[in-house]
Amino acid sequence: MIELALILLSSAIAFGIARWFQLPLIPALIIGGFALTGFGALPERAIVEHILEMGLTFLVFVAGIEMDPKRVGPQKRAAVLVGSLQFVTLGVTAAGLSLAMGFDATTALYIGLAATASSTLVVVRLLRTRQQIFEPFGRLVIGVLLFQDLLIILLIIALAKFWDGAEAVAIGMGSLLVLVVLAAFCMRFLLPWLIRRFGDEEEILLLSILAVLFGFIGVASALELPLFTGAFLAGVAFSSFPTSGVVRGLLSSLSDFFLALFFTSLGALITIPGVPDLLRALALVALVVILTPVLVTIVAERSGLTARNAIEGGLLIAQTSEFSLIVGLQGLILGQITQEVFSIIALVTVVTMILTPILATNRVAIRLMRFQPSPIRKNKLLAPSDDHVVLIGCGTGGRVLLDLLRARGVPVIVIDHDPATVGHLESEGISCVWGEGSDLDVLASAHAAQARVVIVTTGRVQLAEVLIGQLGRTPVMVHVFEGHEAEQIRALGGHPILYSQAASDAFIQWFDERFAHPTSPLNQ
Amino acid sequence: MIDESILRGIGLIIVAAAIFTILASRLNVPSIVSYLVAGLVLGPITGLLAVSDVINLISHVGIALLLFIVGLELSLDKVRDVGRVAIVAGLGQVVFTAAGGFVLAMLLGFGAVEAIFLAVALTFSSTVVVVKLLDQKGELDSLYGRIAVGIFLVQDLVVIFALTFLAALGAGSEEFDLAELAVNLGLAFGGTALLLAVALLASRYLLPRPFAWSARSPETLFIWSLCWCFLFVLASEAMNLSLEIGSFLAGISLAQLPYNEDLRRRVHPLMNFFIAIFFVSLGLQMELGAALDHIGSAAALSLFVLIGNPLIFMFIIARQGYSEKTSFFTSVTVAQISEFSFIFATMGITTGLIGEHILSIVAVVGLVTIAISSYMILYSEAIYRFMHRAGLLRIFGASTQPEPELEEGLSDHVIVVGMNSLGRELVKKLSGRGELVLAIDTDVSKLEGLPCQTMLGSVDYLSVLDDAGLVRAKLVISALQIEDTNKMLAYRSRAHGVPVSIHAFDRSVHAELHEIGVDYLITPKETGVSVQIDELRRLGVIEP
Repeated sequence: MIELALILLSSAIAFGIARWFQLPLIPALIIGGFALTGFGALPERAIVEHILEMGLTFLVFVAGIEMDPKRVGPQKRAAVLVGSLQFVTLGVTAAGLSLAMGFDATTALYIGLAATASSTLVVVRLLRTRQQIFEPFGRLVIGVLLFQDLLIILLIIALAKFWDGAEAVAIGMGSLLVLVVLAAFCMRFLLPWLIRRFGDEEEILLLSILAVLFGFIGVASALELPLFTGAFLAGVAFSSFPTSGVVRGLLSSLSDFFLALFFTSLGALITIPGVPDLLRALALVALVVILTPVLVTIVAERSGLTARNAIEGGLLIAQTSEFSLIVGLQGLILGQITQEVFSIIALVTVVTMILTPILATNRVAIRLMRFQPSPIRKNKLLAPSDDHVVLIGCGTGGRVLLDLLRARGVPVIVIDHDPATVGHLESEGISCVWGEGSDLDVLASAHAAQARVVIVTTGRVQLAEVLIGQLGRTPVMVHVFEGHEAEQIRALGGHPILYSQAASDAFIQWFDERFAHPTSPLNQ
Repeated sequence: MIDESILRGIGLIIVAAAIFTILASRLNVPSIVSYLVAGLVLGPITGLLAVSDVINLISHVGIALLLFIVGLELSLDKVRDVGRVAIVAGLGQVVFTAAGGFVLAMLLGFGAVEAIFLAVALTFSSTVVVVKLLDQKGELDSLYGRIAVGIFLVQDLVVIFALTFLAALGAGSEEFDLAELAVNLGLAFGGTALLLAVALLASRYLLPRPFAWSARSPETLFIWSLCWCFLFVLASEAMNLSLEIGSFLAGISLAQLPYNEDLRRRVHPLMNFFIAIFFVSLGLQMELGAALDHIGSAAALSLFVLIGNPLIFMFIIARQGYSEKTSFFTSVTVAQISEFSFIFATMGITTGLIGEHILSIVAVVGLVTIAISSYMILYSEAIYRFMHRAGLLRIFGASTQPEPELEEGLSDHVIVVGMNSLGRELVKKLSGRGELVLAIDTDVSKLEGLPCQTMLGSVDYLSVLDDAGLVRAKLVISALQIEDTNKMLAYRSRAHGVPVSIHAFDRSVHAELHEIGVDYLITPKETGVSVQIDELRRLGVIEP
């Protein structure tokens, strides 16, 4: 009980620190666990190992639940392309670098694999807080992450069996197939029945879900696969709607609990590396942080993202993953890598995760735009105009506005960063400029300084700041959702269009019709 | 991977528990009974699994979380309310049951020492069993639920007393040291008083500010609260108190903060997982070896616990001025013996005062009384109606006028989820129209200053929707920008036939929401265009 309470205490402190300094949670937890052993507070290793096992099970299970291809939207192909290219290039480079730094081949393979994937937990949380999860690039990033999680699970199995020869790998993959079929069966028949039958009974449903999880682990163990494979596929079996929603609601506190304990106990396994190992870790950090954005930028741009989004996406996924830690743990347990190598992997993960929110910012992205080779698609110069409206962003709301303006005979020039949108609009004969609203060349092409008004529908306050600074006397109208954003725009000298207010008015109209109450004075 | 034993152990327990619970669900068997049976099958019957240290640890975590939840439900007023009756009834029952049990055991032909052990083992009722069942019925908060919990905590103190006493005996029956015993007992009571003082002072002065800060992130609040709970557990263990008392007091100190309901709902699934393992491991540990030879005594003692204990209680509680119904409901809860009874008997064996057969008898009595009393507690309403109509309860002379129950939940209300600008605007407009509005958010600061009822919680949890009265709602609205949560909320509302309106912040989610059957999609980006047009008119960009 003392060990458990101490680990919880360390986790609680890490949660506090992460929130206070706006740091990602995982490195905070790991450092907490590391400090705990530093104080000599965890003599009982058995408990730590048990917690690691339970935590690992839940971590992988939860990752499996998120494996719904629908989340990726229309970006599946691009995600697979970007994901696999980053995966292979980073893996090969990191393994090569490890060999060059004097590690043996096995260790180099483990380090290479650990460097490949990016962290779903860290990135999704960042995308959520920045409300970018539904932008095309957000979807692409999620697709990349999911695809990489899948790849890394496959490769950990292969790596575990690798030293027993090709035959063992083949048998392993065959066993995996059995498990996949089982998962598909559960997804299709067993789980929907469970949810229908016990949907309102928390206790039974929770137990059944966990029983399915442990059942899969049992099957994995019988098939001699790593146990977390079972946990992952159990998660995948639950990944379709509405099962996934039910499971998330029931298990989120369990997984919060076990994940906090998992990362803390993992930290407790780290030893302080010597100076040479520290340098090696730093070299790997540099590799991940530099190579990832470069790679992703190049590939993502070719898949149709704008330069800015591609750079942002690259910066966002420039870290190693929670799965890298699993790779390290697996190697450590099988005795294929040393304690020092495990510590290097953990260190790289901690550092790259901490760097992510610092590097993946607008400011860095805009600075990097300068080094960006010329875009693949050149904008033609539009005829000069001085009574037009510039519309930045032609998404959901922008399109409606565009049609209304055109119906009233107002000339409009659209700036949009999605080449597909621009293509469509041009085929309808609408004047368009492809690019970012913050890009001065783009603004010049759209003659924004001469426009009667510039309307921003993308809702980014930073963009508005640039525009208002650049355009001076041309009125800038910005569509925003939150009241405090409207205040910011007003303070900058722009005109906010608070669309949440408009939406609530429209809602009330519907509400009054739907729930019309003859005796209510308001409806008479 | 590392060592399969823990996953294998927990896996077997969970799978067996799930199978038995699902099989038993059609027969309305209380889940505790299916867990015990699952434990019996895994342990004594097939020998697949033995209780390990880790499983013991997990069981203890389960008990701590259960009592933590109980504490979370209790504001200080509610404790004060039932304090007197809990102490009187708790102590009274111990005396009467011990005396009755002793006489019965002597009559059954046991020796004096054995009879004392059996009598003491019979006096403990199981806090965990009863609290679990009351929680399942959703009646922890009712008057009789609170009285029962109070009584059990008083009994827990008595248990500590008995165990301390026994430990002193075991330390050396030759040189029985009365002074040391007194010191130990003093420490136990002093420790309880100290913990209580710390809990109350902390809830007043230490906790409010840091917890208000952490409450903006539900996960932080959750982990902090668990940490608080286990610090108390550690403290109580350090002072040789039961972990029940520690975790209960930790719960009480957090119950005075405005997040206790949300916390309870978050800890609940975690507790369900751990407590299932506790009950299965209880079944695993059953030593039924010599029980067959003493089946008659076991039956007699079980009957005494099942019928005698409630009778004793009816007299005591009815005398305290509570109504017939409340007295009856409270009394029904004590008709079982506790896991402490096993510990007590095991300790008795190690001191060499009693033989193995006593433990077997206690185990059988435990199994039988826990199983039957689970039914009694779950169906107490029906049993009460029957007994009342048959006139069997008149002898206790309690008032037949039940105490007024707490008010029912909201109905015909509008639930608005997500207090961003859209949510707040909707709440204001709906409240202005005289609608009964309930606003829900996970961030306590966003619920401040709203002209309506508010609730802290995440609608991902089914329990949040239950507490919000989803099934009785007139309309459910989500202003959230979280795709998964919105879809799930829409799905659950439609499953109960409640109209639902969802914030469809991106065109890509429209189709799915329509498919689920959402009644009205709130589309701010599209509707915002009309404001834009008005604004352009004002600037003269387009014709008025």
